[in-house]
Amino acid sequence: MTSAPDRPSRSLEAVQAGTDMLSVLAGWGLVLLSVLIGVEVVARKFLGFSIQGADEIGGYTLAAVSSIGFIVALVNRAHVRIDLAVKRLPLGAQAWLNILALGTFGLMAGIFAWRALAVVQESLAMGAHAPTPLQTPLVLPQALWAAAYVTLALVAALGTIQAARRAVSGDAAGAADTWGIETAEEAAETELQAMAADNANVIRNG
Amino acid sequence: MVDPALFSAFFVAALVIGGALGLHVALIMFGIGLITAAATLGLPLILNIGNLAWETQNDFILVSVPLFLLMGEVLLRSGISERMYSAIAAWVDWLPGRLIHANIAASALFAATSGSSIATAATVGTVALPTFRQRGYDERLVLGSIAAGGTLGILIPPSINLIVYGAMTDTSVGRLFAAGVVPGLVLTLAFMALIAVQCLRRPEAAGHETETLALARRIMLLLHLLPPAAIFALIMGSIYFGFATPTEAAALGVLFALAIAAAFGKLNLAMLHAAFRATVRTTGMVLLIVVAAFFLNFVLSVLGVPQAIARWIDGMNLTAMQTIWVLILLYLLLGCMLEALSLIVTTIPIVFPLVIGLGFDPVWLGIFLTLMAELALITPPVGMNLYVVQGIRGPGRGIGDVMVGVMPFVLILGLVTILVVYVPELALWLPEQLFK
Repeated sequence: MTSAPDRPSRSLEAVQAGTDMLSVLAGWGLVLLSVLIGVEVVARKFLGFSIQGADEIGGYTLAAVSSIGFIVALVNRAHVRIDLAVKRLPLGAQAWLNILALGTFGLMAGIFAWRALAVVQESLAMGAHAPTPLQTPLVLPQALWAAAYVTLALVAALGTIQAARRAVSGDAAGAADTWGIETAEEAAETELQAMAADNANVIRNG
Repeated sequence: MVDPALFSAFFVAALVIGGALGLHVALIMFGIGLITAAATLGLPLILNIGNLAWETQNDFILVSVPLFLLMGEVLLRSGISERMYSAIAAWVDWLPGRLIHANIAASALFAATSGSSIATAATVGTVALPTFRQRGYDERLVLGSIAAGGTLGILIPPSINLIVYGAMTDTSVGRLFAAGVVPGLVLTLAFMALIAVQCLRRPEAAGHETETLALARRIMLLLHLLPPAAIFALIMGSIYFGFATPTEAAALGVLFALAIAAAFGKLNLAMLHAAFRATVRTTGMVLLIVVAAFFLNFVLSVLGVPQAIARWIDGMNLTAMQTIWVLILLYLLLGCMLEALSLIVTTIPIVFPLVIGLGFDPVWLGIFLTLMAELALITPPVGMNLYVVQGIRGPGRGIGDVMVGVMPFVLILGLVTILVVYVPELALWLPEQLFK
């Protein structure tokens, strides 16, 4: 990896740190959901009652975890892209294609954000509640969900701008590398490094 | 009315050009949906994106995706795979091919606790490869067996691919899981038969003989197979006996995996947080493709595109089997470009109505598509498992060895796929027995 001539972008690093925190939070959410569902299954099967609403909360958890995941996957280069042709092009072309990909991705996220906000607005106007025992006001989970799409669009826009700035300042490698395409080799490496790091952690922490 | 030939040409062109430009696959699918909508009914279709995304991201079946991923990530870090491998290795010594069989058997067992093929190949490879060094095994055969064994991850339940297929096509995930078991076992045995035949022909491929462990020790080692077996029994059992849905089974799996990790002294914050990061990242990757696919699916079905394409293909006077053969070729080609999940998800909106219209069973189609995705995982140039195995091997020698080594396994996987096409009962028998 070629290092950028100027210092690495603070804004991109801040986004990385923020998404990292969010994914840990989302992970705990999944553990709590598992406990809740576990209690529900045991109660229903052996105690003859249902705590109600575990599936509803499961749906909200998925909405939150997946929306956060969209952002995490974007900044960790995990969204699927095809590297076959791009990686054979000169670096300058790779840089501009990466800017194009990030930009159009941001556009898509923008459309999702626009329509997600419309869903929230509609729920708000109708005072919509989930047709369930919990009667959750739908605005609550939906507002979080829409906020994640807005964030996704902003993060993608930030990446596009940073990549474009690097490209314009002559740092084609940096531009191509800003949340750029991950080759199959790199994807495999990410997968294995994660495992190796964990093993090291496990050893260190006994 | 959308012209089926024109749309097909547009679909393929968008996939190839968008892919060549390195755009995100989810964006390409979303773009195909958006452009098709804009060219026909326009805004009303597009305005629906918000509701569609909410319904998809709120789908209780899909809640099982992050839960099964988390279960797999926790188990991966719990140390069960090393124990499991050592137990299997102690018992396959007498077979022609010795330890190589452990790669396949351990993959099959690990697949029963994991929904991902890449994770399966990475885990078994990391545990297995060091043990092969200095024992004189044929390296290509070893590498090929790990890459091929890994593909069992998405066929033997639980399987992320089968959950996504079930959610997109309204097919029972419980039935799909059951349907993956017999083809998974057939494939496991076929891979092992291939290894045995190769090593009977070339005994030197199986390395030198090593000391056999005492029987008492070997029986003790069997205990290490209990945790993965218990996880599998918990998931399939709770679904089969009807006291849990697949999503609830996944949640029970998470709790059980945490308990196993704690029992082995591997449960700590650093490990958990690493598992969380990997889970959330993969969930985002999978769900974005799924949300885009639901949108594309919605646009196409409102416009009646799949039906138009079905009529168009009907006009070619192909028999049902000929159509399946065309699909096999198409998937082999697409598999050179797309990774496993995208391969299934991008094509479902068109292929599902077409094949079901020909009278095939939706559960069978799920298994067939999974087998085609497995082929994509081990065929060059983008077969992900090849790169995972090469990554474990480390730099120095080229990936060519892995590609050559996996070729016989590709052939076997192809033959098993054809077998499942002509004997659909292989997939359909077990779910019919279980869910009467």
